[in-house]
Amino acid sequence: MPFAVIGLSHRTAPIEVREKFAFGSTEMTDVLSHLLKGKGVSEAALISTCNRTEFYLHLSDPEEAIPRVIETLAAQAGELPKPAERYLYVRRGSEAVQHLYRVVSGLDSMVLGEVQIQGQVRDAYEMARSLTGQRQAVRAVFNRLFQSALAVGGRVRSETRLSEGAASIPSAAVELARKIFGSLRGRRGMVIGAGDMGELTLECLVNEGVASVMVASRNMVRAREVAERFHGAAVPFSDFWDQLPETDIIITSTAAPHTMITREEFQRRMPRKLKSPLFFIDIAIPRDVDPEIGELPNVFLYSIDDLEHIVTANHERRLAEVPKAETIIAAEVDKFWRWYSSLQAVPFIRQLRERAEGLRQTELDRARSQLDHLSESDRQRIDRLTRDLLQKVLHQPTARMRAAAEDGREHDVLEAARYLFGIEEEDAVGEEPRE
Amino acid sequence: MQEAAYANDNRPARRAGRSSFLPSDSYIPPRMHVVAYAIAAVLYLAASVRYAMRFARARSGATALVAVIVYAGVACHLVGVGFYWARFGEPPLVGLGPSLASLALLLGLAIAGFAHFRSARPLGLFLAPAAALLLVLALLIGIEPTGSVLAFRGTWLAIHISAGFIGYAGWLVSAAAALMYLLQLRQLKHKQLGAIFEFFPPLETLDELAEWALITGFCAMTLGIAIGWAWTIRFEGGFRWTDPKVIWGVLAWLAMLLAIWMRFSRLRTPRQAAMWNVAGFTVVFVAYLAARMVIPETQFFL
Repeated sequence: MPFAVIGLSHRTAPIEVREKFAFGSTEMTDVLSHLLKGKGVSEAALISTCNRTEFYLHLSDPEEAIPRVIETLAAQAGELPKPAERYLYVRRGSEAVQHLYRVVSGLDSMVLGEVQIQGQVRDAYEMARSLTGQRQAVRAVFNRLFQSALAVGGRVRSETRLSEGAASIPSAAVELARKIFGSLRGRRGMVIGAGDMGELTLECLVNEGVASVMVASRNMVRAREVAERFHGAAVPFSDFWDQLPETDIIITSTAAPHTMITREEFQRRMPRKLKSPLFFIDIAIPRDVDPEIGELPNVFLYSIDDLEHIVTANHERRLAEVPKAETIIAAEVDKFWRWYSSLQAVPFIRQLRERAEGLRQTELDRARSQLDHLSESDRQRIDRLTRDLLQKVLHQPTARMRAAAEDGREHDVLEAARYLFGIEEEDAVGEEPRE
Repeated sequence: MQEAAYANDNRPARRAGRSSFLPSDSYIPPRMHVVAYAIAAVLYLAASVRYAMRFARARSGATALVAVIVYAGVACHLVGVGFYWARFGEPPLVGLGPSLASLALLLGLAIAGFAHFRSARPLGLFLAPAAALLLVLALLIGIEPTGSVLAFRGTWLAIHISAGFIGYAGWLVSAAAALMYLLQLRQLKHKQLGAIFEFFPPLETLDELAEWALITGFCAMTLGIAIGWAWTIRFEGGFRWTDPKVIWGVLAWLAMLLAIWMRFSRLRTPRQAAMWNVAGFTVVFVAYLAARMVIPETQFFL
């Protein structure tokens, strides 16, 4: 079983443990170089995100390499509440391939179907590819493995609805804002009461193009801090009513024990007919905005319960897509594994071709010495003829051997072929298929 | 206002099955325009099915494939117009069949235009079936000039009719966008985020599309009525206010004017503007159906 994935994720370890295992970008290159220098590791890649740290390995000697990788991880984590092994998992062979495909598709993510993981796996692959030196971290097998994994991620996302719909409160708010305003570019946003969730929602909106940001809070220090982060302006809490007519999206997340924005006050302060929509995202408990305001023309009011309802519905829809995604992954693992198995025939095919080419050259040289009268073009013609003949004779056996290897019959078929052609088995370690 | 245009029916080129502007030895197969129109109708129907499937599955927006189908449909439709023109020596503007086919073409062009922009593409959900229905009706009625020959007085009459068609097509597009606006608004207000929420464009996009199409339609309609008015005064000696077609045309123009006023009035919300848009279009459409029942077909261009 020459593949292995060794690591931990949100499924096996809490955040305080995961952050101890995490690698910075410089550390990642160092640890990969270190692993490749040792025995047993042919190729390696490391994915380190806030939710997982995983080594993907192509091994020539699993028994030697796997304990070494576990030691490396334990050394990185340092002191832990339990032994490092308690948090780690090791998956081998096709299970390791399947795990990578599930990870890149978002099936193993904390938020089912999230899309960022695709980019994170791509970055890990690019980083491993960029490693040069005595031994490359990514060669033919890992190139194929990671390229196929990224393609599987794309396929799962395009053929299923696993990544559709908002999966968190802030993303649900952004999705709604997009359905009201279209593009959020140039829109004006205001957050009233600078709680963590409010800040997170504001961040998502700013990432979507909300340009002008105001932060109104009773704590002006905190308001300035948040406003500075988003290149916005802090306003005293008492002034938020004055800013309201200039705003498109309002996030309220105060700790006030009563309704702050009542219908009466709103109607007194705002124009009678709003020409452009006004979107309230009320994520405070108890609610900051009078629910009756949502009934006014061109006003859209969503409370935290409404947003949670959207997220739950989307999660259920995503869950229903999991079997489809698993079917795609199973088919792709099988495809990769067949390709990988076919590589078992590569050393023999190479030997067979070298042997045949040697015979051809010998026989050709002998024949040429007896055919001095032939012109150069005639000699070239004979050379081409024998080469083509050899190709045609060897094509069928080599194709059949690859097919047998793909089907898992490589042992019997290769044994028979070695016997028939009289080719002894070479030490296959270090044999690399051509890309 | 068109019956005066159907002057003497003396179209030898048309009867002979060839255009007056084609070389004398060129031959246009008699039913080629019908074949091209039929293929266009099939493609519009296929696009309608794609839109409906996407909507039924509550998928976000429409795919590029539907845009390709629409482009192919419009291309076939234009080929049909070319064959028609070549065969009858005039554009398909006279008679119910040709008029419906031309209106369908304008809708097809609008869908193709929207298909280019991903956010506006879902408008085809309403417009593609409308185009397909109009074209199928035209095919059933027969896409051939009926009544007398279109006696062109320069190109003014053709411009008058074309501008009128653009006006009605613009208004249909605007009403479709306004209806989608109202449905999307309802989902957002009631927090029932289903297929409409997923498939329909954002509110502001729909509002802008409805406004843009209404203004375009109104400008074209105004131009059409102005030319028609000038034309009848010039050739008929006066505007015939008692003609049901004239009444209907002016009613449509007034309804559009009212919808525009509602849209730009400071006292109205976008929802009210959309409601007026849909209601106005419905009234004019019902008036059209009623007018069709009382006016002989030979006197009606649409």
